[in-house]
Amino acid sequence: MIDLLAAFVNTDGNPMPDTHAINVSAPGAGDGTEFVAAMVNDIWGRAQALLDYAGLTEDGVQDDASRVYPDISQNIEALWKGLGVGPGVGTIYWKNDTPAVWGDRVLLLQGQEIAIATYPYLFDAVYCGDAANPTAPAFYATNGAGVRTLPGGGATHFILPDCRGLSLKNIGDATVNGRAKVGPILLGEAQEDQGQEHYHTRLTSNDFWGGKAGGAGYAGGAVFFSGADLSTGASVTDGVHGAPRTDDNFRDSTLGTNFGITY
Amino acid sequence: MKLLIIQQINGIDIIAKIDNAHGMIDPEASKAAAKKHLCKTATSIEIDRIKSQLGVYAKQMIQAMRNAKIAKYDAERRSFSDEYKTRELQFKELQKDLHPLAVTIKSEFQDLIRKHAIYFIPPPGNELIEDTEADAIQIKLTAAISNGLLLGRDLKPLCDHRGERYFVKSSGKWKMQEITKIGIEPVKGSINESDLTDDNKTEISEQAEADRIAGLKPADKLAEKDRAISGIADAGNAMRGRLEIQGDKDALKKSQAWFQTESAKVEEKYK
Repeated sequence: MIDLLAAFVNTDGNPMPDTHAINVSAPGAGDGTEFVAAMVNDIWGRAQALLDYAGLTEDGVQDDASRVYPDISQNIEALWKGLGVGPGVGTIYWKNDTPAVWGDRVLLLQGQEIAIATYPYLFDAVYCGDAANPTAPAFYATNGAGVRTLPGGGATHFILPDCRGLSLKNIGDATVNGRAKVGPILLGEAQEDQGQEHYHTRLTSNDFWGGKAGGAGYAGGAVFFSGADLSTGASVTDGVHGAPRTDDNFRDSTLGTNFGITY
Repeated sequence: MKLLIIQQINGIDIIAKIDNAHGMIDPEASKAAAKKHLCKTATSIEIDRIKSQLGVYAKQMIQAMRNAKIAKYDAERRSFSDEYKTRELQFKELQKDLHPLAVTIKSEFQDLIRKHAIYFIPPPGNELIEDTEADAIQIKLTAAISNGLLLGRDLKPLCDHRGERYFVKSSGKWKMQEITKIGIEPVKGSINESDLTDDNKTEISEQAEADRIAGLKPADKLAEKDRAISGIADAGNAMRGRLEIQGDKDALKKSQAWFQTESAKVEEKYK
């Protein structure tokens, strides 16, 4: 932008970022901030640079707040595209209340069924498509009562993914150390926790040498144990990594937050 | 409103937790609802009054400026100029009153959004409930959890002994009850597996082994007995060798005696 102090004769004289325009001291005084081409060009330049940065060209319609879906203000569209924000972009939301109260254009991802008419930009950005609508795990259209319905067939709502209690993972597969890692295939697809395939070594009677009553003194292969005797014991600490931490599911170490999507 | 999280176990709806419903508030619909009430607040009415008055001052400033430009005499021009300055001062003074009101109305708007919140349709397994109902359920849920119980959606406590095994002795025989579903109580008088005494365990183990052998086909039973006796003979042989190395002159006698005793046990077991 232009240097305001250099470009204008009449200002409050404060350096950037506190330079302000001033009014005339009296009618016809001529000491108010000049209305000159430099001022207008700086404003125009800003708008044009934003559009250019976002790869947009002027659509010939004046930008103002009355432009609504799908004819959105080009400056807003340029902000979305140029900065990679706007409908359909994820956010980590730390604020301790509903985004509605903060006035943030964010929806927390909790599996809600939301109205297409209220969130048309988001629907445009994330809709799974007619072909995938019957089976998609999220971002599919419904009739407002949870029933999958195509937009052309009377859909009024769509479903957001439910991220509660889940970590996010990039869709697709990976290979690490030559081993395949299978990731989710679809946007919004939940993958349940699992451990990798493995075998257990087979216990032999020698493993019980000197073990339970009746075993002492028996040579290998001489001792008979019933099925119940061959069960494994409880997990115990290895002395280094603490007591075994077990619960309902596998999990890595995590930190709680909210995942949201901008609209 | 709060969010009731329901989990279905064995076909029974269980209350898993009560959560806030922050994510279920529809921001745009709630804002629209709140705006309808906002315009009726004293703050909003006062802001409108100030804005209206500011508009009057602004128009008066513009008019004074126009009048000053076309004034024919200096005195007349000075008069309009003074009026311009007066209106400008009034405008600026009144504008200062807007700032605290803007802060207040922002807070009031947030409160109105909470008060008139409109909610999304929650996903299956999630129910929106009133705060009072949530508080009442929370009390029951906390009590159930502290007693090691689950709470059904019908607000009735349910036991959960899944994964536990109980043993009860009846008519001289032990019976095992393995519980795989919620809501099933252990048989009266039964003992949790973890509370079994060593004697209990021995009895159960011996009973299980006897039951297993009794279920074998005659040929399998004979083969298993032969293997066991053969194993004892091998062990006796090893025992004899060890005793001989240790210089025991009665090595054969002792190991044979041990073999006889142990094989008699096997014979008894498989008879």
